[in-house]
Amino acid sequence: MATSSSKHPSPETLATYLAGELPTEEMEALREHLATCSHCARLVLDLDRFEDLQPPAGREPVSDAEVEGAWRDLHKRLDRGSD
Amino acid sequence: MEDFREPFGEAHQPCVEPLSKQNPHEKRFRRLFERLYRPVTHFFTHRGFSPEDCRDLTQETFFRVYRGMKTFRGEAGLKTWVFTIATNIYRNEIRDRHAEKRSADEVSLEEALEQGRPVFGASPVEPVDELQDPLDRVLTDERARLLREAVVDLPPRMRQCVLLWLDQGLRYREIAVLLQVTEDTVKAQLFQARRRLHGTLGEHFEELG
Repeated sequence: MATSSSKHPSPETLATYLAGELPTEEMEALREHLATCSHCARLVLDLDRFEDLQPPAGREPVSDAEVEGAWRDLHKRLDRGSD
Repeated sequence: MEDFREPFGEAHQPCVEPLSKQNPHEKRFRRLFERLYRPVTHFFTHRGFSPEDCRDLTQETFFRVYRGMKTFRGEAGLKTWVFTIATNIYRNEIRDRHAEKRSADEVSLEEALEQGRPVFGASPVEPVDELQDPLDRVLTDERARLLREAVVDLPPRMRQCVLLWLDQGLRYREIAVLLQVTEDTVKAQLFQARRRLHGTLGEHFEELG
């Protein structure tokens, strides 16, 4: 799989790029990076379809009960106010 | 892109206090959690984490989202913001795991000899397709080398399309998203690339057939 050795752009830069708000020069440099970095290319594609991301084949979908349980756990952690 | 400036914009109270029935942000945060819990989990699942790790990393993401609401100004969509937090957590996790692995891999010479482990040549070796004829392999490698050299000389947009298509195996639509161009542009660029590479490589040209 293609990977680039150059420094990976920040997620914020990738999001700005996808929003079409990156300056032209930076945009061109990022295109070059994406063409050779499968890691960042996948991040941009995942961001593009973020809300429609599905679990990979063979993995159970997240159940309503799991979401509810996760909410309770997060609630407890936030109530404690701990890291 | 959605604009969530209204719920968490500057005009609203900072959202740092613990969740409670009295907290006016709880309902909004709960809606956000219900909407994006699955996508965030799937984001980590797609990167090979176990179900337990996915749960922990997803919880960490929303914990930071909640804490960050104080500074979130809504320049980017809320969905994008949650995604960037998940991505930062993912990158940190990978970095920490690599650091742990490196530390675990540091074994003294004496220890390695004692355990009968190889001291030299212990690094992973690229797997070789043993069923492939050696001459075929050399020819395939040579064709790949020629193709790579020819691709480098293509104009930037054309080269990017070819690399994403050949190297990363992406579809036209995905390439269009990545390069922020239309699908028709991708098709046209690949069509032109085929013609140019065919002209350059002649009989060696098969990959883009």
